Amino acid sequence: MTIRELPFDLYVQILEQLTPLTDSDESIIVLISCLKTSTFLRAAASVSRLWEPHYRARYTICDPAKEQSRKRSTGGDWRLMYFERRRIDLETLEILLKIVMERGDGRLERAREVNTKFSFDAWNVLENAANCPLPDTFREPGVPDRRPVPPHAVPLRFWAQMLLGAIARSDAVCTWGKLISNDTPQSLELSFACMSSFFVYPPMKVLSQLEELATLCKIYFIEHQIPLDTDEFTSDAGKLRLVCSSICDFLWSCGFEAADGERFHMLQNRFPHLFLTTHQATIPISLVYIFVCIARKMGVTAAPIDFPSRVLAVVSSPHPDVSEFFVDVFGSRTQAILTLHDDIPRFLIQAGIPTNIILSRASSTSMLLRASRNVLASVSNFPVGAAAPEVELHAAIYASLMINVIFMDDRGYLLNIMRHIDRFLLDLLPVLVDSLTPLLNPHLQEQLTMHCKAIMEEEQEAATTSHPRSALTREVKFFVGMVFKHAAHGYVGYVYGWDPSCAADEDWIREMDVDFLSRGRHQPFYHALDQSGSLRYVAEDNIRATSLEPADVHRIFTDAPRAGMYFEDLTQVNGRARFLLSPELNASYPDDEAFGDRWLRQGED
Amino acid sequence: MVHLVTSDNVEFVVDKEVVERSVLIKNMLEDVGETDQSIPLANVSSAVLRKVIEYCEHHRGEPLPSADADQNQDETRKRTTDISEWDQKFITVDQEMLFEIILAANYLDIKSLLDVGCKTVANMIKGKTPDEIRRLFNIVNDFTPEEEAQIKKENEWAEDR
Repeated sequence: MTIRELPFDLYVQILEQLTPLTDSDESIIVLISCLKTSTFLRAAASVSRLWEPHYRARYTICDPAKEQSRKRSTGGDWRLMYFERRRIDLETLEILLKIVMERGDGRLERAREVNTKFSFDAWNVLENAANCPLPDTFREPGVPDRRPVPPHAVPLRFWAQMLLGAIARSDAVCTWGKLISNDTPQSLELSFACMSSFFVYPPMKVLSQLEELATLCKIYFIEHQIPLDTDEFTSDAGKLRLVCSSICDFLWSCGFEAADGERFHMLQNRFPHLFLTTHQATIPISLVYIFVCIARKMGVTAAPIDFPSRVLAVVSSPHPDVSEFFVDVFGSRTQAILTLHDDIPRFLIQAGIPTNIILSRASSTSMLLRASRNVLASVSNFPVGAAAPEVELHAAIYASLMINVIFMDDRGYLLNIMRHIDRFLLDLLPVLVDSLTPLLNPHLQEQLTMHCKAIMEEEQEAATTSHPRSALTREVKFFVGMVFKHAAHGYVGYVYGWDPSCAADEDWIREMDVDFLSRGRHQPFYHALDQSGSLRYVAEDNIRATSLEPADVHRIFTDAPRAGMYFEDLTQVNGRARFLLSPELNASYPDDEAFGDRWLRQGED
Repeated sequence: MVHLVTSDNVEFVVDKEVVERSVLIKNMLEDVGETDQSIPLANVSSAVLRKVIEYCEHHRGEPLPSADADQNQDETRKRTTDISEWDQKFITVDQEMLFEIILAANYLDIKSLLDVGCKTVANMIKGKTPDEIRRLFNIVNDFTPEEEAQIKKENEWAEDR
């Protein structure tokens, strides 16, 4: 028997069997190889629908406008669209690698370049980079990863995450900026979702979660025989109320509930990506947001009401016989439907508010402002670190400050943002300069521009400053990358910088009793990160060598993400430990890698 | 019972229930009604038909995908990427036979068998170079040098990994 040639359709069917993969090229490589074999097989492998599942698996996030124009320019051919995205991926990775390798104002410009050129089109590739496998040292045992570890994996992950954040936040600021001139009821869903952008969570994911909920709600309605037909329930007051109270019942059946006691003040239940998933016990405004979004998808005219004591929803009907009513989603287990004449006055009296107040539909802007105040209130109710991990805390504050700057034009908030910006290292140009500045009044614009310019200059100066050991006049015993234990306070820290003598200001020196140390202020001081990610400045006298337990090693980048900017890998010998340095730290302390290596080997003897 | 005659003139007598896994034969039988006349299968050899009948015997009684549920069927097909153990063993044949089975399954319209065959070939070409794929499918490189250069350029992002 000889091999018979297969017909065209069968080649296509064979290639259809390739599993779409999100983080491996195995299947795609097969298609690519087939494109290169012969005219006939190339034609089969070029069939557009073969590429669609691979495109959809890999590219779950896109810039909607760019995706539209891509569809137009490729005639909707999924293979060409795939190629186009891969080219964007490649270019993004190239820029990302430059960001990893070199600090300075060029790094900030590169972040701007990715955001301007690609925005969310760069999302999936950056997300892959941010989750690329870590070196073996940091990996949880028993979790094998067959993927190869890319060069500079640790800082690559760090900067990819920073860049993702800059893209998401730049988009959020633009979305909010549009509300200034055009705040419609429809804008609520997206603009509120953008609160999550500050946690590096793209708003389209929030929207699709809401879409899913609406679908589930319709199924719930069918199962419980509640009317789904818009014309039917909007023309009948009883039915419309049933529909609204049933949406509340549905939410509770999904696990949503009114947060009580301590949970009421949790920071996490204020952000859509969290209250839709892990923090479903949440506050009134969040529940009303979900209610209004679902109700609208089901054909109900609903809007939030900025009610004094708690946010409510108002529901109306185009039908003249059906009067509007209110829905207390938060209190829906007691009474979901409130009437204007009977219940609302009672509510107001309870809250100690005059009953002649006018209740009007809340704009998206006022909901955002209320949400941001809820965040700032919950932050001040709890000591730093107690309510939420520090990373989340800063993202939450940043989001809230941003809302207040945009809609209140307040200088105080702007200054506060500038105090936070060193945690969001690539935001300067894409978020503050490109997206925020145009929204501000001329006075604030000037201030912001000045601040940003100063930061650019500082960054450029830091980038060109090097600390060679040959220039030292006093011995610096330790080195960047060292893991130490504080002799007095006992915490463990990682050194990422040093000064030959204390470089802090006089107030700090006095407050910290530096002069009472045996060598006082005239000894090397070390910049360090402690295990929870806080920044420390430590005298050489207080530094003791130590090593890390495996459990501590696995938590390094979760608890102190910033360590990813400075370090690449970890080596430990007999109670001594040191990190290998990231390219930028290596450039800044050119002799420390070799110095640290010698120190570590001395520990072997 | 249904009589089938292969391209090399061998007659097979098979249970109607078994042979009706072939949509082609099922439709034929519905059109002509009960008949003792044998059905000629000009595209299928006896060696191949024996394998096909073995497959149909094993899967006897399993629900057939309905013709009008094409969309759903596509969905389930995509989701089930794995081949069952028995099918795996069944399809472990030399390459000529594999291709013959695929061609026969296609001709006889036996969707599940066609899928098993196609999945197997898809697994075979994983990790193969264009050259190896050409040998596998017995095809020649008919690109002009200009076309080659063009193709290389278009897939630059896939090189070097």
